[in-house]
Amino acid sequence: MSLRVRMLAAEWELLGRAIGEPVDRRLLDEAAARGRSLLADGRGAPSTSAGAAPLARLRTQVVLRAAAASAYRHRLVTERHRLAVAEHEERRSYEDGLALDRDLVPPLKLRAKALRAEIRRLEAEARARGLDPDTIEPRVEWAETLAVDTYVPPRYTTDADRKRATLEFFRRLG
Amino acid sequence: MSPDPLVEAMRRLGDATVPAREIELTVTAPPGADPAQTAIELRAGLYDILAERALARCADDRSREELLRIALADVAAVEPVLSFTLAERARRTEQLERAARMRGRQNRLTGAWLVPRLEREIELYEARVSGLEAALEEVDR
Repeated sequence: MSLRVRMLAAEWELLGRAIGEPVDRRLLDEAAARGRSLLADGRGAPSTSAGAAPLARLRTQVVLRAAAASAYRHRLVTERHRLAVAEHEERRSYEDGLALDRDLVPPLKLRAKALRAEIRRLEAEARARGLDPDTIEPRVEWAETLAVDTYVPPRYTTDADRKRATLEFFRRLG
Repeated sequence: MSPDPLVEAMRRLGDATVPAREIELTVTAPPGADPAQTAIELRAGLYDILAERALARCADDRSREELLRIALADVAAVEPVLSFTLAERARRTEQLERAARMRGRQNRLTGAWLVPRLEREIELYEARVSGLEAALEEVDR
């Protein structure tokens, strides 16, 4: 069966030049078969010269480490984009969250808090004048509303603000 | 003098700044072969052919051994760095993706639930204030 394997173009071009002959389908199949054999039994290609065994072992070590390094580099290079996307998305979600928590939600909660206080003041006034506030529509089911009476909006400071505050603190200390 | 092509190939493996452009190679594999394993096997085989060509250019086994030792030292210097960098980058990427997912969920909840609910309650409070003010005015009359 045929399988498709992806490789960095830069590495492929370098290998082609270094091997010194066109890497065609025949050579690719030979390479795949050699690699299978090397990884299966850890033995290097046979050699006919004396002292071949230590050389073959050394060659196998070089080749297997090169294959591992090549695979690591392939993932590192091709996943650069994934990291860039992740950084962008994280930054965007932070900015979206900040816009909600700083610009949209606090004014609404403060408005709700002020209105709740106003309702309580008017209800007290109504009671003082002999009215039963529960008979006045529309009524509010307080238990079903968001409790914002003690809400204090978060304070966001910039680096410059913090620097200024620190200098001010030390200035006060003299 | 430029290094032997084998040594140069080992050194260049450490360069993770190369363009991400890929090529697709078709190879014959046994039935049921794992594509990831085949990719490693092909790489090993290509580097083996490269090593074979380089060793064939050497005059004797002594120079062959010297060449392989240099190549091994070079690849041994880059392989753990690549492995560590890859693991670190994968960890950082996953961390960022997780943070973005969680914050995105929180933002969607705030935008789709909290804000409309606050707006509805504010409308109710405004109506209640108007109702109470009207009742008090009625008493004053």
